[in-house]
Amino acid sequence: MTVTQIQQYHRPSSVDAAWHLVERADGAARLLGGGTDLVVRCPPEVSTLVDLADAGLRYVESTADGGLRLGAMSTFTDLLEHPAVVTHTTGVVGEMIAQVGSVLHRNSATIGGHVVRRRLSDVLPVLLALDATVLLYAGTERELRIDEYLAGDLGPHVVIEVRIPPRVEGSAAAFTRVARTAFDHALVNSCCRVDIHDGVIAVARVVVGESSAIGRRLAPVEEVLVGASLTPSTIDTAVAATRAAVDLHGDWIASAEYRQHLAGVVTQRCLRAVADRLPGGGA
Amino acid sequence: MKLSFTLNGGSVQTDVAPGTTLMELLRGLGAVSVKNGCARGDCGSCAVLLDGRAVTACLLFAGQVEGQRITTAEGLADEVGLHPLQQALLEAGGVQCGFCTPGILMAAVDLLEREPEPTDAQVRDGLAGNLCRCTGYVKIVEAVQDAAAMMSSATPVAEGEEVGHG
Repeated sequence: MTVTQIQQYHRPSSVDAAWHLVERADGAARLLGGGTDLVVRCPPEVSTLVDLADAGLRYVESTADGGLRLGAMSTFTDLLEHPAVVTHTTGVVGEMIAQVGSVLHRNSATIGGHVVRRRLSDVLPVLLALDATVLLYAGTERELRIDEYLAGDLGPHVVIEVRIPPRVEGSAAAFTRVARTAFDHALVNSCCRVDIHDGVIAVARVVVGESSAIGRRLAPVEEVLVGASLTPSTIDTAVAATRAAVDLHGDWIASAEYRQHLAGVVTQRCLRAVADRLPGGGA
Repeated sequence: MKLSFTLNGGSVQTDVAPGTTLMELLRGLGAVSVKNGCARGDCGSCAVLLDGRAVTACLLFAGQVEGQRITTAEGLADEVGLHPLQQALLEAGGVQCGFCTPGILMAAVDLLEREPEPTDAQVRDGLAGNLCRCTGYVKIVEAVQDAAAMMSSATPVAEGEEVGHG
């Protein structure tokens, strides 16, 4: 239904113009990406929309070293149809995007809008596990690690692009979620990545998220993994450490205890998939 | 605000309130196949094609279609007859109350454009955002497969040509 509080709608042709519109509005303006969130959750103080459709942010590029630059206005369908995106780090990015919402959502939801909203996300655990960064504009450009971006109160800014570093040799990653229906928000999700060096895990990323939160890295679980081989017993230890490390909420859909149990399940599935995807495969 | 776009092959210039959703705009223009089911992106009854891709019209602001090409179920049939998907849904019994049908049609058009010979799993994934409370989906999936077979034996649509039968 008409969002009656919206009194102005702008379509600036540059990032700088968009930022000026938001920065001068003193909280009354909101940037518009795909729009999938704003119609139903427009904050009451917002009376101006700044549509980024003409700001030149819809692009997907592979860098020479194998990294990815995902323009903020790229839809999830754009990403899913880009070969370098769906194959990055043993296919984890494509694996995740294929599970985000339905086709109807993926055709309009944007990667930039998803990062900005900071909630209900299958995307953020994967970005955290891949050490992604966010290029933003607030008068000047800044690049922040995704965890720094999510933690900070950055004031008015425009997300220009999400950057995913090149895959490290010997690296594998996987994403798993549990949800009630095909396109419902995940009760619990997990993304795990390991980089193998000299036969042992040199770098580990274990991220667990849930429907109301953005996901966070579990340092105690990563410490269990670093220096070990990804064997079944290592995975069992990591699963136990995951259940000890998570702090998940309970609601009418699932209790905190059930989510804690699921956290172990999705992490186990992820780590088993990672093991299968490593050179030589098989945990 | 002034808005200019293409609706089912025809040029539209209109003036809308800045907070108008695409669903309201299209229904106001007479495209009442765009159903208001949930108004929050859950049911898919308002699905339309935005430059050939199925989206939920209830979650888009009207301003987002400036300069774009919109197709609704009204734009599928032509003077020759129904679109193969419409014909297949009729023949397979994929329509009961019919409320979800226009949205399912648009999602299926998008699917068959990307996957001309989809598997059952691909059909179900392509229609995962469209809820039907009557049919149980089996006949809808069959209809999409039937339409895919019909369309694969028909003349391909030229690039840039408006979606429609014939």
